[in-house]
Amino acid sequence: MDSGVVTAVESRRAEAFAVRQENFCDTISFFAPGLKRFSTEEFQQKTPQAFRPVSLTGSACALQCEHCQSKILEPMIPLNPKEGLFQLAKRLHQNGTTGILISGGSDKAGAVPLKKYFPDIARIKNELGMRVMVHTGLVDRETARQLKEAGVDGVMIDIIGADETIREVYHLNTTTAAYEASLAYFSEFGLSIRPHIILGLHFGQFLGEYHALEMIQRYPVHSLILVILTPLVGTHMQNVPPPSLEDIEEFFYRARLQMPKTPIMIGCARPLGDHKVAVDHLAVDYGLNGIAYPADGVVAYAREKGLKPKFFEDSCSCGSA
Amino acid sequence: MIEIKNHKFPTDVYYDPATHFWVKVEGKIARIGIDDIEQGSRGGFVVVQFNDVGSEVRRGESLGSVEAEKHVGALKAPVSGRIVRVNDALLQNPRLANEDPYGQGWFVEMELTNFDAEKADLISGEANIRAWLLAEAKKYEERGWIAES
Repeated sequence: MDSGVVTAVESRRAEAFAVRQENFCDTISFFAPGLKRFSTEEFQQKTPQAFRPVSLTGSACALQCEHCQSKILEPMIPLNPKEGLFQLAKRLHQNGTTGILISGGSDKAGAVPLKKYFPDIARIKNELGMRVMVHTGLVDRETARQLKEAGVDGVMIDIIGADETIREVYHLNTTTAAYEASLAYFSEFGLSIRPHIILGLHFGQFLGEYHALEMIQRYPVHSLILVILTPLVGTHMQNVPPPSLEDIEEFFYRARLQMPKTPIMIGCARPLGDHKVAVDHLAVDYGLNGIAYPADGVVAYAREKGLKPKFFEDSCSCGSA
Repeated sequence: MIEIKNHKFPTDVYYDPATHFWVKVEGKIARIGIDDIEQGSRGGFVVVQFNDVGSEVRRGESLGSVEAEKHVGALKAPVSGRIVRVNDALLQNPRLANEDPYGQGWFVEMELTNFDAEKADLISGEANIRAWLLAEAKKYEERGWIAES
């Protein structure tokens, strides 16, 4: 790489970092929710039970998306219909859990089957005082209204910005407009929106990510969560190379500049090993606000950049910068 | 070999209750690896690193580190000794720890330095192993480390 290129890269990093400094305090958040046991030299998870994921559908999902095929649901606590959601939450609460992620597989229309659980969710909020985050999938207006009425703390949805990806990866017969409509419904009812963008979702390639970013920009989201395609064993994408660091770096740059006042977090899902180390350093360089399960050495790197680390044991979708 | 919650456990090894590592002793050399329930709870191993051959490690100290789908952290030595061999095949293919935890997925071999004293802290014998694992399986379920049955 010649010095001109190096200078250009450094200049863009400095530009993005300056945006962060102008709009946020000098803290950076690190997260280690109970989805994974985590203990490094820099960050030791003390209460892995603090925030737990629950799947309303067990490991069942009608979509069988190419990158997941229900694998992401497997480590979640499966809801036993005989026990019920409230009793499950109560049992977890008694064992020290203070927050839950309500997730699950999707139906054929791309929605998580939430509707019959709203009374239980309201009780979890009102009687147990637990923090409740919800993976919603696509929603209609009535679902958004009921989510608000139930008092959930935040809603999460993967925003897909390319019709080809919706069809070929998610096997859904819809368009990006459905994702934007979900954002609009959430916004209409004042829900705390934490949209996710999966970088490289189209078989490791960037396709709809920048359109997804544009859609999200139009709504008052609480934070933006970036995750990276992780080739999972047992899925059709297990041999797909993850997106290149160059593409990821470019996206971090543009996301920071296009959403200067919105906290941007690196979520749990991303390739491990050297790729993760590089991504996490880029996240700091480009002024992102938080990282889940940080690679060893990244906390020290953030300190070198003048940032003050804060540590949380709940989801990055819960946190604030 | 005993089976608990669909996980298999040989009974001719010692187990460290703190780490769920198995220790197979032959003379002064111990081969060390991870047991079946622990590998299952950690998800697919992606990166494994070990301290250098020749380095001394005391029980409870780090002999390396692992990054897996559901676990990131140090590998704490179940016994004290000097690392005399590391499993190069595992370094090349970390998923061997998931696929064959008692065979090709072993971690390191150590020359033991304090085993006579330390073996009292390890679990051995079929009845003891079974009793310990039944309690552990319940704990793993409650903590969500393995699927509830």
